[in-house]
Amino acid sequence: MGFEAILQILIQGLNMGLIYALAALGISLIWNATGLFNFAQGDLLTVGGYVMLSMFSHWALPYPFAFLLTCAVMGLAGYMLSQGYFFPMFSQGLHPDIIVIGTIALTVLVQNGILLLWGPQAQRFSPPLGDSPVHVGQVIIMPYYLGNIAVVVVLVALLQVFFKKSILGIAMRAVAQRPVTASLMGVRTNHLVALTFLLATGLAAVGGILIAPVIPLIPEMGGLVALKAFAAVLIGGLGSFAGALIGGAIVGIAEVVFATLVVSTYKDVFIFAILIAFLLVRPRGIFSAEISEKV
Amino acid sequence: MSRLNAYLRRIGLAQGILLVLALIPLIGVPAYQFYILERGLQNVLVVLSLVILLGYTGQLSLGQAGLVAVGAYTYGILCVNYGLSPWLGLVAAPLAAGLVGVVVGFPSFKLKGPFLVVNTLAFSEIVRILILNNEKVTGGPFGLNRIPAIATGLPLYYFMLVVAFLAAVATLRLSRSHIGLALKAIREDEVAAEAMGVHVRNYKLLAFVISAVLAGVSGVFFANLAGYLNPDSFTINESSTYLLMVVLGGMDNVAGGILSSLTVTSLPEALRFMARSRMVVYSLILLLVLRYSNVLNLANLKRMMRRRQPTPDASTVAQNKVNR
Amino acid sequence: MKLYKGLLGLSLGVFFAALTLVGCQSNQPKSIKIVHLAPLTGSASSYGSFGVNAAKMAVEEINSKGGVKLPDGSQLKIEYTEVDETSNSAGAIEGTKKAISLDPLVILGPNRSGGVLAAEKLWKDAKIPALTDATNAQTTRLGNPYTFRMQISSEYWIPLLVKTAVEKYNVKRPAVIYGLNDYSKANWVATEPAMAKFNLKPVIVQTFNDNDQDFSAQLLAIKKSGADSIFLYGYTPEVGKITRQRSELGMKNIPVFSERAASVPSVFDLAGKENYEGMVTTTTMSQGDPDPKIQEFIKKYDAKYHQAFSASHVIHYDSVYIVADLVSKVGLDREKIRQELAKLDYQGAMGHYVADKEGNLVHHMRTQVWKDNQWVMLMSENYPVER
Repeated sequence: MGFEAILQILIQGLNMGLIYALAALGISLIWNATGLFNFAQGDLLTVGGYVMLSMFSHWALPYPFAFLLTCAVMGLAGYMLSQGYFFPMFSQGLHPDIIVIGTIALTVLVQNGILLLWGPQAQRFSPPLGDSPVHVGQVIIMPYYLGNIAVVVVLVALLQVFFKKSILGIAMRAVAQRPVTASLMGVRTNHLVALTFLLATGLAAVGGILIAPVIPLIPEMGGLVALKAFAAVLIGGLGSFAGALIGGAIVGIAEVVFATLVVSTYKDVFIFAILIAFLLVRPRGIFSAEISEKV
Repeated sequence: MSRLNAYLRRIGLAQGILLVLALIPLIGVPAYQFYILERGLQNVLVVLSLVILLGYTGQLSLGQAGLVAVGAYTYGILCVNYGLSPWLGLVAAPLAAGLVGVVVGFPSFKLKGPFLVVNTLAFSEIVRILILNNEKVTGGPFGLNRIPAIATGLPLYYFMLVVAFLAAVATLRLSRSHIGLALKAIREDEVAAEAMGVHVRNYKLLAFVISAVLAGVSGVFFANLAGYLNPDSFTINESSTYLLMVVLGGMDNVAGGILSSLTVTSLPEALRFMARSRMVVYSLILLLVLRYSNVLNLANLKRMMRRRQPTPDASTVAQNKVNR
Repeated sequence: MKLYKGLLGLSLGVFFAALTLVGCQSNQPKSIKIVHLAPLTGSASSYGSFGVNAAKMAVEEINSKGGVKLPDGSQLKIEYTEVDETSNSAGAIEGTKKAISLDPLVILGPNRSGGVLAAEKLWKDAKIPALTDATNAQTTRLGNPYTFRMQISSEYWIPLLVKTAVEKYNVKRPAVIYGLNDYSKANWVATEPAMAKFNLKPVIVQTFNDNDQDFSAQLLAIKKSGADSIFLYGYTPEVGKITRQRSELGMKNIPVFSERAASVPSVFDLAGKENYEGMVTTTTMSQGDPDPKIQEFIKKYDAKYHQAFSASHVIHYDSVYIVADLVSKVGLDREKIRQELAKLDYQGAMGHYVADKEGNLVHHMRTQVWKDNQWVMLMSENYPVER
């Protein structure tokens, strides 16, 4: 197979992988702060895409403004979700399995809520950089691939800075690593957990906005992305941001490579097999991030 | 009345409920409602499987739909493709499911929390995709049709009821047996259990196999009720619903599990008058019940005695994470 | 122990209240009961809304004129109820049982072949005629005299498509890509023999799973094979994405040949205007058909719903009118209606319906191409009816 054909496949894989990575980032974020594995992260991503659809496509707001507004709306939703639903469940000491199942119930609510609010038709909006492919030699690149990569890179860089340098970020890390000490030092735990959710839903919003032009927006999209995102986050290392990125890239590329070289019908089985292999041999993932090692 | 009390106390709440169910056809239930009842009953077996796996052993699984599928399709394939007697299918299907349970349980014993959940989910999806893509054997997306039944109508209902009754009794006995104690020890603290001489790995595997067998039987009943199988009936959505049922029933509570299986199965039907918003309302109800499950739940009260209500502060968040 | 009894009683009470509330039927005045099993939720829900809208429009038209006049002189209105069959087979069974409990005269739907296969013995046992949507050829070959098909089976969707591709587009090296679901696979099964008639063979065949989001592997393989056309069978999201992605991978000039799922408006949105241009699909009703009755229907639907729709999914407009017509002839007798359906010869708004011995009611096919923002009809074929 020619070099350019390989490159093309890698680019396609990376494009999908970015999306899984964004969902994985959100999952790791919430996991670090609360020990909760958010099964609804994929669906939150989908909501982000739909909200952007309404703002950018239906109400014709300018793209950057719609982008920020969508993230703000989603962030607020995450904040309220945390304060109103999840944090009370933590503080009542409910069995962690129940809370996890709460996120599963949330997926049902979100998928059906989307169906009710936006209808069953598959929808899409055009990305700002346009839909015309760019030819680089024999390789064809869609403009939004580069846009997506740029956004994700900037985002992760910002997150790193945030967590290492800003007071809020340090406080969040403190709560994640040593909750009791942090609270003794005067940190309001419930606010910080809420902030974590806010960040996670904001990330989901970004993910949804980036993904909507790539794959059709349907109410069930969340569930489909979620599976691959779970594989990505576990392969890369639950709790690690680098792991989320690498895991996403691996899943995205492995998918398309398998589909090309072997058969496309079983590519999901292939990914799951890799996942199970990791769980058997190295459940911590590639960048095994214990809570004390994350970021 | 005290006679009734004494009787109920002796046979237990779970059996009492099933007894009531046995009497229902006598008061005459319309066909549609009766079907919902039968579906609820079929789901009871899967819920029982989760009572054992999650309630007793603390293993959270999103993969029961795959095991139900193995049971259903084994039964269907043997009866339709090979012309075996449905009774043979009834025996073979849970065995096949149990075998798959071993395969799933094997990598699972090291895993906890989300790792375990995702693992079971992955297996379940693999099963579904394999069924979908092997048309010659399973009918693939066209499904498997005209599946012969062990019985139909009322006889089928009573047969399922008897099986459910036996399963409930067996589960309760298991709970009180030394196996049950071992499983619960594993749920509470694996390290301590191992230290006390409980072979954690073997018992976990046992829990997976038993729950797989139960799910397999449920699959046979699904095939009997529907007469038609299609992989679209065995997805994450179904696995999620089973989990919701067992949690709403109190996780390790057999009676609660039976009740919640019946209620959750009938809930979407009861909400049909809401047309397009019914699933939203349905999921809202579930979310709310989960949120307040420490109050609303039948037997979570027992659980709450163990985890006393702390003041909302950092230590509970920490405690939540420590339990990974 | 009181707690036990109390809890037991309470829970069972709630459970049964939930159940029995479902079946509450007050004594209604007589009406012509039609229950429509439509996918309101689930993956086929985009088609469900078109079908329901079309049926409702017919019901309102008829009822606003006072209803249907029965042979005995009385006039009755149509009572139309939609029941969600959730796009999957288990939902179809439950929905059908629910529909039967409403005691309808006739059932419309279910939409998918899986649903029909799953539920058909239910309406057979209940002796209720069902006007189904699905296109899998098997659904009318199960010996069920109550199953009728308001569609034409998948065996017929493809031959005209291939003929159009060969005669109008000079296709010589077709590629086929189809989804692994009953609908698309049945179309593939019909494709090979259809192509063989024109001495054609696919140069490459690719498959995908429902809910796949990336088709690079398949499309790159097609590109490598040097195909001059793509025969695409799948559901809306995948068809839309594949139509778009083929252009993204440099195959914009390769025409796409598809069938009814591709003429759903959201495929146009998903694929994008430039990529959808030139899409050729088969359909039982083309919006480019100059027939005045069809144009009139399109105007009415647009005026009422302001919604682009998929022509092949509005068949139940005619179903309702057929039922009304038969009721005016034979009254409210299900068995008589079934017999009339078995020898149906009715000219509806969207076509001519003739019953063959299997219960299939539609026997024509059209092909159309999307050009300059509208459908233009290309070819048309009628098929012999085996009565």
